[in-house]
Amino acid sequence: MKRILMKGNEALAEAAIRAGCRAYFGYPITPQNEVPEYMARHMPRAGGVFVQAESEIAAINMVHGASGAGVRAMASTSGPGFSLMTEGLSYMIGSRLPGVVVNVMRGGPGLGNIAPSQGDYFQVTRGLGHGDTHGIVLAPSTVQEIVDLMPVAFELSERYRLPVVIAADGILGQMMEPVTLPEPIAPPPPPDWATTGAVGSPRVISSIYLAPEDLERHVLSLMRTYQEIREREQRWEAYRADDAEVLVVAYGTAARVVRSAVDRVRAQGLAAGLIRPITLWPFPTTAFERSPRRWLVVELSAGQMVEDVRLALSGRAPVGFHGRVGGVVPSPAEVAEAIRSAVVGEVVRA
Amino acid sequence: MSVASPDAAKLWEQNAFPRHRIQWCPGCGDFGVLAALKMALVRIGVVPHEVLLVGGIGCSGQTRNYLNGNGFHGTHGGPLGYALGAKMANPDLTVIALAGDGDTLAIGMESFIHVCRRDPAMTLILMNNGVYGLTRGQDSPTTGLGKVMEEHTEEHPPFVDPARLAITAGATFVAQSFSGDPKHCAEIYAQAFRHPGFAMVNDFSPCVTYNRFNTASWYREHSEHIPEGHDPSDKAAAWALLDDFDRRGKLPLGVIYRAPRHKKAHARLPIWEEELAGIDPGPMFSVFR
Repeated sequence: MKRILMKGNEALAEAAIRAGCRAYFGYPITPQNEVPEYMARHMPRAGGVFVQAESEIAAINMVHGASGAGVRAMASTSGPGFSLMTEGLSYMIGSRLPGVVVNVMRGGPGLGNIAPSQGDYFQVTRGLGHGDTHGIVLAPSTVQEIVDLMPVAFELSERYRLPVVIAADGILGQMMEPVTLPEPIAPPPPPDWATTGAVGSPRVISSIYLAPEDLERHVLSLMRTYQEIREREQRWEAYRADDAEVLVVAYGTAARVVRSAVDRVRAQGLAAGLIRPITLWPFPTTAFERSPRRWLVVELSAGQMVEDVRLALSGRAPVGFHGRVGGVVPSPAEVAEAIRSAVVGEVVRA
Repeated sequence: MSVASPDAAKLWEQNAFPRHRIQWCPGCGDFGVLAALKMALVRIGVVPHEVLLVGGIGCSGQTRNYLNGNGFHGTHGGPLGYALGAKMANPDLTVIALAGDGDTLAIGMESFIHVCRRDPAMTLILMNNGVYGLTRGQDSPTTGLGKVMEEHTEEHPPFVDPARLAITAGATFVAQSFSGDPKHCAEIYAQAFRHPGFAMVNDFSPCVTYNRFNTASWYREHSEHIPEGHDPSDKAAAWALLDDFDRRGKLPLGVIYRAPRHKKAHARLPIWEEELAGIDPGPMFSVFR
């Protein structure tokens, strides 16, 4: 297989087209601008449509419409734009529609900056709009993994009829790495619920259930889907974890730094390992069944995933936290020091 | 408004925060807007504490950082909303929104239309360069100005004309200027700041990096001052002027439309001391006795 050097944002756009995506909608925002730039050029060549919308709200509504019409559709954005898209995501979940949204996370809150961050964890895992909403959230940590997860995202999204969010960050979007691209697949035919015909039984896309009993039935069915996803779709990677006396939990870019830090402290005789969640929702609770003496969570945030780790462990072991915010990425040496501190039980920076 | 002290000009020359290094590319049209703003603010005799500058997101939003005065930086597409809120809460402020064509006419379009309708006594300086500069060169809603577009598509629709739109939506002061002529800009801005309703100035402010078509020399070639005989209070004349310039492939610079404000100022809640002075609060507390 031919390996080529690609920027994360461009690789994800190419991987989406190869996964049969034929409709892309977006609005300019850094650090994901290479995605629409690539899509503008390549999507029409693949016979798909590209629209630069007038806002992120319009972009997600276009995804909503295209998905309802039975086409693999996606949008990409970053933090502030993702906030705007959450209204549409709630409606897509309520309407049981697939679709993929990439959030190339940047520093927040508010306008923040355009440096890498993982500060949108709560928003992607808990906050896909109002109501009882969840969507599967995939967190790649390399450009190759972005490429590999793209077809998975569309397949999961269609299997469960829920939007899938790919949570990347400014580093993953902007960095170049060698990747092997999969062979392109033909877009699947429109599903039998899509608004492609009304003869016989009309097809309606809607999220409104005015009678409380009807809405309860609808949400209970969503909850059954959520439960099925929790049971079947947990994904994670364990690195040098089997004999570890301290396990570090990190995802995305932070996990790459932790991996180097684990090697570093292992070389000095400390048995450390890494648990890297690939699905942020459902959170891979199964990975937390075996418990070493100490846990440490490393995030590019003020401490968000750490809450899921504590829930998964239910108090079985102490969980430390080391986070950098504002776009600052810790060095392997800094994380190695945090691991050593966690083991001796010192209070690490909160 | 206070009378400008001899130091007013100096106050406006100072940068609000010296830590803000100017981020614009050399030759950016926004330098002309910045110079014109300083001249206009001195001319209308306000000092920095009387002015609120609301910046958009985009290169043009930086203007707020390079001027003295109260500043406000919010969401992309939000400046007119923040400006309206501030103006209604504190009508004594001179409120000026400084935003670009992407901010105002794409994501901020609903605010643009509804602020024109409400017609509050504030100003929008729309720095129009026909491109998203900060995010590196995407098409904006005003992309395509001056180009013969044989075939529009859904992906590439025709451009938005903010002047026609503002008049249609109910703005009572609509003007255009070219930032390559800061002295003329300053004249227009000063009139806009003094206008007792919503003043929209569509300022052609070329992007030297990402818009290689609508360059400063292109604007110079394709713009003309509005003839002296034009009566801006006549809406039909304003439309005829726009049509005439369009036919000739020119952009009119100057005041296109200025209507006498016919709306009443907004009703303020009686929360100020003097307004409460005539109210007997006794009965309100009787239930607690």
